[in-house]
Amino acid sequence: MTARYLDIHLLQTIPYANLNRDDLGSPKSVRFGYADRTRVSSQCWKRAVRQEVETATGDVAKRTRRLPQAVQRRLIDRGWELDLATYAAGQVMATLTTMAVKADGFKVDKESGEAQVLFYLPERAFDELADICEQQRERLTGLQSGTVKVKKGDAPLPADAVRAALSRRNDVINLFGRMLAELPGTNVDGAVQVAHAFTTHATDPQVDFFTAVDDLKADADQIGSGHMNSAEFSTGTFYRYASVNLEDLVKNLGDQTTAVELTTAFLSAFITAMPQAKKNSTAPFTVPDLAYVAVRANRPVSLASAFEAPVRAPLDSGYAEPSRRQLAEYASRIYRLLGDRGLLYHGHASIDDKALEHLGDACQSFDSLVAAAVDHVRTQ
Amino acid sequence: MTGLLLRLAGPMQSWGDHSTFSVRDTAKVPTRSAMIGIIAAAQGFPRGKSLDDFAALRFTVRVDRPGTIMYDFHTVGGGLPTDRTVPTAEGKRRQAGAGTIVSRRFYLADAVFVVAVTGPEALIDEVHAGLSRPVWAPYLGRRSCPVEHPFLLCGPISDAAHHLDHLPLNRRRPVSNEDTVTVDFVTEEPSDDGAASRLTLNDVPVDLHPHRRRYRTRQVHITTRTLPADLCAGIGVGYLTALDEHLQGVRT
Repeated sequence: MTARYLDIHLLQTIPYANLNRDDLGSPKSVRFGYADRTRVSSQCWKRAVRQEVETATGDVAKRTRRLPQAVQRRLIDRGWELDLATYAAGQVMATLTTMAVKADGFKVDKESGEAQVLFYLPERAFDELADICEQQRERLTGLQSGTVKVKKGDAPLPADAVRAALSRRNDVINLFGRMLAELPGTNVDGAVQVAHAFTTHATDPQVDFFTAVDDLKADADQIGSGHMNSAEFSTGTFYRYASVNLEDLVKNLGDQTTAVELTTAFLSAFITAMPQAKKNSTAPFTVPDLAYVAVRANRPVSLASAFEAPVRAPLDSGYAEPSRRQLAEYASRIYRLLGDRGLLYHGHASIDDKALEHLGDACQSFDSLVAAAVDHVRTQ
Repeated sequence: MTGLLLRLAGPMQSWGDHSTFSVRDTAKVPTRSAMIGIIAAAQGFPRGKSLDDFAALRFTVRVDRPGTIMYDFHTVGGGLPTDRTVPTAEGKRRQAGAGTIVSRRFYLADAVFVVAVTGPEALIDEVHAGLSRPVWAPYLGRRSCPVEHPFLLCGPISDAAHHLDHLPLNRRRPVSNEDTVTVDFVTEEPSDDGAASRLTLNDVPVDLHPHRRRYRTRQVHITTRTLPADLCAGIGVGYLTALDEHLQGVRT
């Protein structure tokens, strides 16, 4: 059986914070199982993950008109003569012109050396264009000296290779899709689904009434504040869920190896990334106390329903520990109902001393859990 | 005619039936276009592929919990430099600091529906195969709202709509000592019992290609019926157990 879906479930306890607000400044909420919960929207947490993935993989996309210069600089770095490098960059643009819908789109401004269109490309697309020039160095030399001729309208460089370089996308675009059509025909459907995070228990937003002291008033021996207002916050144990469609990811990337690397990067970022709202006044930088990963052949399985019946805190403990137990118990029941066909691997890492029953392998760390899960994607 | 039973449950669902852009409403019941979308995506239909095959499907919806309407305040493109804001229709960029796009997206929170999907045997078999191993995972109107399991309750059975009268209800038993509860059913044909009201939805998908989405309207009939209160199996593990026991009987 092939691995087709990879699910990740996290339980994370967040202290006094307001990670995601609505237009009135209140923490977002959702009603579930007859109880109001605090919610962090999927788009909010996804943005934090996106930024983390970009930083971690160093795969940054650049938006620029200066494509010719980017190619030229790379060729010079590889020891090309300035003349030939400049000429080669010009031929890359000429090749683009032969396949453009409107020929003048890829015209290069003589003075600035910039193209008319704004490109949006990962760094490695520039390298790729330089590689094409490198392979065609003899031909380019011939073209420059006039010993090789190109028919009018024909591409001086291999058009397919140049087109392929231009359709490169960076990691984040391959994971989450490209919601904005940066260039026509470059829309990408995301391969990752992220659910809205919500607390496993009922919550009430807590109001913080605050005043700001007016220092000069105090010096003048007057009482009263310079400003007063109230802000809302919330606390709780959140259930977070995301699912990677491995087939879509491979399709977006074009190869299995990169898909495995990117899945690893995504899982690590999903575990650690935090929305940054009000970070300076609340510093709620916790890490999840349970991560549970499942590799599946048939369909993704969310376990949000484990908390449809809101967790109740016993007198001597909070919500985090009973939430972990409730998740494990629910998983065992739902798997019995579904049958475990299609579950290729599952494992968890948690702060408990004892392994949680029904949640597969007990791993020592998040990293080893991610590695074990991804191994099962790789070996398929 | 055979059929399947699907349970649509999760913290949030969103069944858009008429709005796009900045205010995105939700209908109070799953739409036909959403159901066909779920089924077609599971079978791996690319966008824009003809949906005529599914015209023969009939949907009967039982409202276990109607849920409450909530809205999510959603912003896009804020706090970004000019060149990374959302492009305008002209292809130009918005000013830095003024590029935020605000939308209000409505959801049904805490709703649960059970849907009987009925149709010709060969078609239902295909639908079942697709939903058992979906190419694209089913979701409740938005990709951020994955379905909760159990979602596909059984294989093809005869008289699926009739089963909705006996399947445990995913709701709490009312505190009163009555031995019946009222349950809403949404059908595409007028039903012969109970108090019915009619509703027009613009949700028959003609084309789901993002550049040329088109729908036709249809009338649905909402019937309020009484079922035994014993069917109320609560929520969470208690409900799962009751459902499991009941389905053992259906599967054999």
